[in-house]
Amino acid sequence: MSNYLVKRVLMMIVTLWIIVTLTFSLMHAIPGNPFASESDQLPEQILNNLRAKYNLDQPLPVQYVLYLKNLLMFDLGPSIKSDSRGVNDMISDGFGASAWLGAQAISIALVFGILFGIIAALNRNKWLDYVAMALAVMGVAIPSFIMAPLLINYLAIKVTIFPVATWGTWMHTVLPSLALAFGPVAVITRYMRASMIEVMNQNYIRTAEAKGIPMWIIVIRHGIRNAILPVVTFLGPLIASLITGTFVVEKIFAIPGIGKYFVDGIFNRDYPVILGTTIFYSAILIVTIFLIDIAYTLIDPRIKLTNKER
Amino acid sequence: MTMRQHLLEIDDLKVNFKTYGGEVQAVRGVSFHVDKGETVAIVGESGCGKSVTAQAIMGLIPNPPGRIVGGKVVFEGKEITHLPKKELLGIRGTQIGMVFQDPMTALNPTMKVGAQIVEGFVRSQKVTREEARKRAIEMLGLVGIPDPEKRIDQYPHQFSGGMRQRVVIAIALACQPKLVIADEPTTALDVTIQAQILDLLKRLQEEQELSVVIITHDLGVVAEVAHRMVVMYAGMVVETGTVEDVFANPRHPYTWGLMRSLPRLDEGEKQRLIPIEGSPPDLFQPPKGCPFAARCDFAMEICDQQMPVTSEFAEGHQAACWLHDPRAPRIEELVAAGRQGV
Repeated sequence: MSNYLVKRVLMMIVTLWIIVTLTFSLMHAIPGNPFASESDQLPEQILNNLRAKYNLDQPLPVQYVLYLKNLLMFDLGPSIKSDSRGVNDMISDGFGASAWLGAQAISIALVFGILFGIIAALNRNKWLDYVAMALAVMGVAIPSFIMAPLLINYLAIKVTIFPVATWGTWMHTVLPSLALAFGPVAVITRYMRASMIEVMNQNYIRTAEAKGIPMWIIVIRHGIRNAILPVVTFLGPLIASLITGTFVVEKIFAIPGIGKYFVDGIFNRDYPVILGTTIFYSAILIVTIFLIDIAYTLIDPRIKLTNKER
Repeated sequence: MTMRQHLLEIDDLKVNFKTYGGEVQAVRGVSFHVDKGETVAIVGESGCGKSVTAQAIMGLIPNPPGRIVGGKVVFEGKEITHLPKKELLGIRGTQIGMVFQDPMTALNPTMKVGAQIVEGFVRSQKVTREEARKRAIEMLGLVGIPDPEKRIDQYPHQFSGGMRQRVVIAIALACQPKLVIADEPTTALDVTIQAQILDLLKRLQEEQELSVVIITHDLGVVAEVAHRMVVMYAGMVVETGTVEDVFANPRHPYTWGLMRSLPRLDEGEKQRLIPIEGSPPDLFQPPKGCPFAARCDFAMEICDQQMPVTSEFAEGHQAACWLHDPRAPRIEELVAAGRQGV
């Protein structure tokens, strides 16, 4: 087990290094540079000074080694566009809001997705199932930038329960969390329904019925744990993408999260920001997937963490 | 004459299943009874309605598509055919236990074996954790699993097939039910394990004075454990009686066919097994006469036209066949011929 963990952590570091390398090369392959928009107005001398300041005058391999050196000390470098702040600061300023929203959205998605999935599965081909499935299709089809204005219109303007936008009290977090959760609820409902239908047809459910256990206890005790693995699998990428912020929803609700840095960084060719946010996202994804693998073994005792090929 | 009350009595039970192709009449008027401390075997080929009968006793017919359309199940003098869900839950497990066919899938893979054994017990007896644990250990010991203190905290995948079937039996017995229904309990196991499981069932049946309904298509199993047997064909009972009577003097051509298709060790080296030609009738539209008529070597004109009446031979030995009608031609030679395997 501990042998496995050591290997796994080493693998995670190697994966991250590969991601850094790929991102670094791809990023420099995009035409343009951070000062492209100013290059007409600024004298050549100043541009050269700027390039020198950010090591952009060095050959690429040198830049790459310099970047890796800083990365080893968890320094993601300065942001070229907003000079006073480093990428570390950007992430630590924005991550709190993004992570909080993401966590709330994931909780909503899990609770309602699993609940709707179970209800749909137990009422297979009856109207409750059809309602749940219709909602699920809508959830997948309607993007969050439509959901968000709809939520604002009905729950903040027509009925003034929640604030329209910005960031402050917990009330501010409700609408964006709902907007973020809508899609994932739909996906989890579908996964849960499919796997619950399969589980409820298993022989061990019949065994439990023959013991005289009421249906709802059977569902909770025997059904959910066996049916939840596909949902857990989906949870890995979901957690990573939600807690690292989403550009659209954070933009609509004017939330100071980190979602916008991903997009702005690319437009500005702000090399350290692109690399920093990508590394941050990747690191979280890699760690979540690792945690999910551990969760598998807790949910299903037949699954073991091991290096052995069987 | 005073009728002794049977522990379980099934009277003219009829079960239908709705499918896209129409309504299948899976069980078409089955009657038999089980007394206290007795083992009754239900024998028949696949699709003859034996498992559906068992499910109907437990109220486990999936509805929809299945439905009990007639007859009744009486347990300890009380009709339990259409009990409300809540009362049914009080009978399942605590009064009637069930052993399923495939031990590889009958246990929840994510739940410890001990917890699965006492789940029903905990629910019906409201016991403490320690008492439940003690009970689980006791039950595992009872079904012959070594080292039960350690084994109750393991998961099903850590058990072999035979051991899992012992666990399934332990589950069925955990609440000390009066009746155990075993639906092909040995079919999925290899032969040596089969013998062990049958021995176990027999021992438990004697020790605990259980009544057992064992469903099987294996006449060897019947001879091994049962006191009485019920031969089913196409959703109906064709012959019933004590195992001795039916084996020694089978009265229904279908039973003859079953007997002839068994290998015998006492008849020299080379012998052919004689199969029953043809296949069972379509239960969407069952024939109006004897369901076996189409495959029967001795079928007469009336067999296609009318359901046979049941004739009684010895005490409780009955068969539903026209050959036993006084107007039928003398069949002694036919019967003898049939039993000798022509």
